[in-house]
Amino acid sequence: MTKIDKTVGRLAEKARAGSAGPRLSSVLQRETLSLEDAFPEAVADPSGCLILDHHPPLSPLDVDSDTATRTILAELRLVYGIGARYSAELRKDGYTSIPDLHDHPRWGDASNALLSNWGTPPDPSAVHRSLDRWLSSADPLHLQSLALLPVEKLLFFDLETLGLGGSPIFLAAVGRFVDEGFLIRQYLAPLLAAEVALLERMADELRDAAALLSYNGKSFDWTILRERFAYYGIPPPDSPIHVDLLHHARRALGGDVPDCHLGTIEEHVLGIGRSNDLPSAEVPAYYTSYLETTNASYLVPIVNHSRQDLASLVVLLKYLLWMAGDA
Amino acid sequence: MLDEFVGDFEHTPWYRGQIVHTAVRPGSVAEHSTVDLPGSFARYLEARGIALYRHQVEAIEAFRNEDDVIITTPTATGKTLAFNLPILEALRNDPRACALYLYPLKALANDQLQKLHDIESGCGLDLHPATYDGDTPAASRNRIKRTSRIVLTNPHALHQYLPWHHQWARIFASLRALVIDEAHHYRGIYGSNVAFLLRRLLRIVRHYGGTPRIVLSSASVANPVEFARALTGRTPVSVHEDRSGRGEKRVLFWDPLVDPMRSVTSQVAQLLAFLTGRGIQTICFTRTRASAEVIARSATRAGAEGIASYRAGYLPEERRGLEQGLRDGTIRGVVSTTALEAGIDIGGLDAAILVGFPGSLLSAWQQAGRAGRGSEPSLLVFVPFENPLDRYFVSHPEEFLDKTREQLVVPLRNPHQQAAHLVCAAAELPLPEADLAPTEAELAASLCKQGLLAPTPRGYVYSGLRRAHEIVSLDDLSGDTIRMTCEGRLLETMDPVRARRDAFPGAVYLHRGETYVVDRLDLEEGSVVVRREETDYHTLSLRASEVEILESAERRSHVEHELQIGRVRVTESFLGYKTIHADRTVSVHPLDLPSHVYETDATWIAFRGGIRDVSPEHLLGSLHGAEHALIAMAPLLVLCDATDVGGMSAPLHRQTGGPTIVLFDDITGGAGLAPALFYAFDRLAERARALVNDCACAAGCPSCLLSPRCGSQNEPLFKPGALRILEVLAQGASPEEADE
Repeated sequence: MTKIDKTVGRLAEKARAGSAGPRLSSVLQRETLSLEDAFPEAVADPSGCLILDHHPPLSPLDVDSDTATRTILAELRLVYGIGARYSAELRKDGYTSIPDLHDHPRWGDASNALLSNWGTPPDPSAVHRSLDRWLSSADPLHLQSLALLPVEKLLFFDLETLGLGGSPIFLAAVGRFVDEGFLIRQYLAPLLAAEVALLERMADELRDAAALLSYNGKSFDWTILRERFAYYGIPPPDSPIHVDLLHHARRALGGDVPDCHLGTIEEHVLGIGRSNDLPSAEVPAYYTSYLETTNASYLVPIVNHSRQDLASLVVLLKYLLWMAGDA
Repeated sequence: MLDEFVGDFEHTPWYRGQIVHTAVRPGSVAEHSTVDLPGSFARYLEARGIALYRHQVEAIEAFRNEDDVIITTPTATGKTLAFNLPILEALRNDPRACALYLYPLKALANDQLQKLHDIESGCGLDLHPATYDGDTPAASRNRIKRTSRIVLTNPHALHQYLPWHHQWARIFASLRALVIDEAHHYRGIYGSNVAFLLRRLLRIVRHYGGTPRIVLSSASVANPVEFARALTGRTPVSVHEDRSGRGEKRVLFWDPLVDPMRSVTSQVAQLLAFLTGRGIQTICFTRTRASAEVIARSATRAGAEGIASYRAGYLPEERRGLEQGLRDGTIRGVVSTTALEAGIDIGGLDAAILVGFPGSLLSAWQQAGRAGRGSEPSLLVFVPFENPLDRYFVSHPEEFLDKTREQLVVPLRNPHQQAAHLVCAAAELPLPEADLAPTEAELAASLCKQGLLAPTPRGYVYSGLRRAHEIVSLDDLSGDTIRMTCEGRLLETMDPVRARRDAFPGAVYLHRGETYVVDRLDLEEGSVVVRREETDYHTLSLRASEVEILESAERRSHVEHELQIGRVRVTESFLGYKTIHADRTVSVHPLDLPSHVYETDATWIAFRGGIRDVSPEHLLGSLHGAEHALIAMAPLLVLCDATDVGGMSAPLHRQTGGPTIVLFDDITGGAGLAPALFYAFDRLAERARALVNDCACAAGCPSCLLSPRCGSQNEPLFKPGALRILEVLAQGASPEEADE
């Protein structure tokens, strides 16, 4: 070990402190796999990241834009000036939807302005702006309004990173409904040098999407994505409609579960049991071990974990929509 | 008018001839100059009766000329206005342009914000200036980032915000000015942390297309351009000639030893009562809060009225009360710790008393600058303590009056720091290999091996598991930082060397003029727990050092000796500590602390054989004495505390093969002080020689050879031999150099 290595060593110790104790690769014996063996289905993107496609057995999303439109129009609080109290009074007086207010002496102008701003049929982005402005981010209407969008334009996403911030993203998973069912596509960086390619592919995915769905993505995944785009100077896509299912899960299920980790909700609510799943907290250490050893067997549990997370997002969305429709 | 007062002293019963030297710094006539400014700016100046001085106009023109500027004129010469005017003008002319102001302390940034509000509205501008730091409410943060065109912050905060640079894209892309105010705070190891931080900031600003000019403002120093270059990596124009026109300043050297029957405190209190009694508004600077309070009380007992004391940590309202009292004359005298030295606008007083040398001429003249209103004459009284540097000024007052000799040192070669900032930089933007200096490239390769960086086509990318900016702190370079807390509140952080030496269990510890006693030191956990307590004793650790020379970088040969600089490994053992009351050792206690081993920069003197006229049995005492004198004089040449430099003497060092004195940076990794001493060694040796030669004592006394910090209790010391050695060392210095 040279003098410089010693100087740097202390910094490295600090960077590891509080994460893994001994390095995983030194305590965990795993079978040695090459990337090709571990992921025979992988397609190498010319830019350097691997693309892994997976079709989980998920049924199509059963939503209907007419029902959604009716539900949205029934929410009087979306009219400027109408809060919970006025909304209740107006309902008592027989006003059950925004168009009903057309000739109302006090709210007529505001409701007409809102409807003309939305257009016919209502423009999803305009509706979304109104929802964001007047309703809590956990209001089920956010979920229901997704039905205004073409279902194949909904993009589920989830990231795996080396740390809690300022660290590279090495795996990005996106999912969408396609003709044949549901497609999970994972972009995996076989080297940290491929992160920039991964981000460029993600930027394209985001530009194609009409809305994003995530779990805790508003405070974590999206923030990190923005930070990493800025890090590499990649122009960030415009902020899309983003529905964070954590907010909805907390509101709808918070009382019934010990905590709102996705795994807990899977177990207690969705009835999904994960076998041999890698805990999220250990994902960075597994990736680091892969980098140290180039043994791709460390990547297999990460890739499976990420697929399961994404598939659960879809199941959770369906469950929450069902609860919202039921209410 | 002041002459009369000085004459008056002689008729007071307590005057025993303590004024051993008087000097006059002549006044100067203000030189004004004009410059075309936008109409609203000109009206603002006119309304306030401000006519610009020539040095202010120089600074304005340099900024307009697209130059970086460093302004080092004294306190209260309009430095702030000199950079605010051209910056506001630039922001007025380009409605998108922004400016970033960096202050060493949050309190200073808040003060400056008030000034900016005033000048902004006076000039009819609307720039939304705002401070942005840990105290900024979350609700204001987005608004500031969206709309403010002047943001004031501090290095610690900036360090945390840089990884979020995309949120600052607007400001960085149109950054027109970067102001580094009170820049002299950024010296030594902290200075180099700030220097690396500024390089990271400038890299990010370049990434967003910003092309700022840098404006630095600092107390007077000997090497403003070199200092600025070290701090920013760019070469500024220097504005240092004060044209503000100053009244003459009468300087009195008041030697308290002339009246050994009365303590320094009581003499100062008398003096303060005397001056304030004659309507001379006086500020008195002391080293500790306790002595500030004692002096204020004794002066009041001696009949003085309107005496206030002041220290760090006063609330803004308390401070405003003080400022108001000084303005309306209800406060006639204030006794303060260094907290009132700079930054805070208390206006000019008539006289300043410096009780003890504040450690640097820069500080001394910042304090002296508190006395003086425009062209009115002012008074400065220097009351030395009984230590070598203070006493040296009594016999060499001309050195006190020459205030531009100190060099500000910003070391940039400490590998721990370089590595830490490389990691942060790579976490901010990819770090292309081509941008790295050879030593940085070597560090980067090693960081890759350790998994902290990863090479990518865009450059090195941070790949650690924790946030880079959390593992690197600006107060900390090695990763081994000891945090000192009092009732759970962080007081300061320190190097483990310092902690063992000054913060051992039972130690009396001075922090910003307040006294604390150490309850617990846990080196494993990196913590020191202290409690507030006023004590009538102080403590001193007893230590022994060994120095191993690792490599020699440069040497200079003389007839009897050789001078070298290089890297050394210091092993310091901790034997115990003693408590001292009124200069007497009261008790000695054992200490159970592991010895500390660290590498650092050093300058060493190796004699070829014996030293002429120094007998072998006195060799160690002579070397040891010379070492003390050299260390005592170091702050005269390099801006540091005498405590920043450590020493070790050996009659026969096994590596040099002869009598050897080693002077080293007392900080893990080194702080660049020893090399600075190497290059100024002739002047250092000459001053140390004069110190010992001019002292009338026979065997060494606190005024020349005794060091209160000596780990071996000042044993042995041999004055004649020390003088002989210093004469040999000073021979290299020709008389012109010595007086340069």
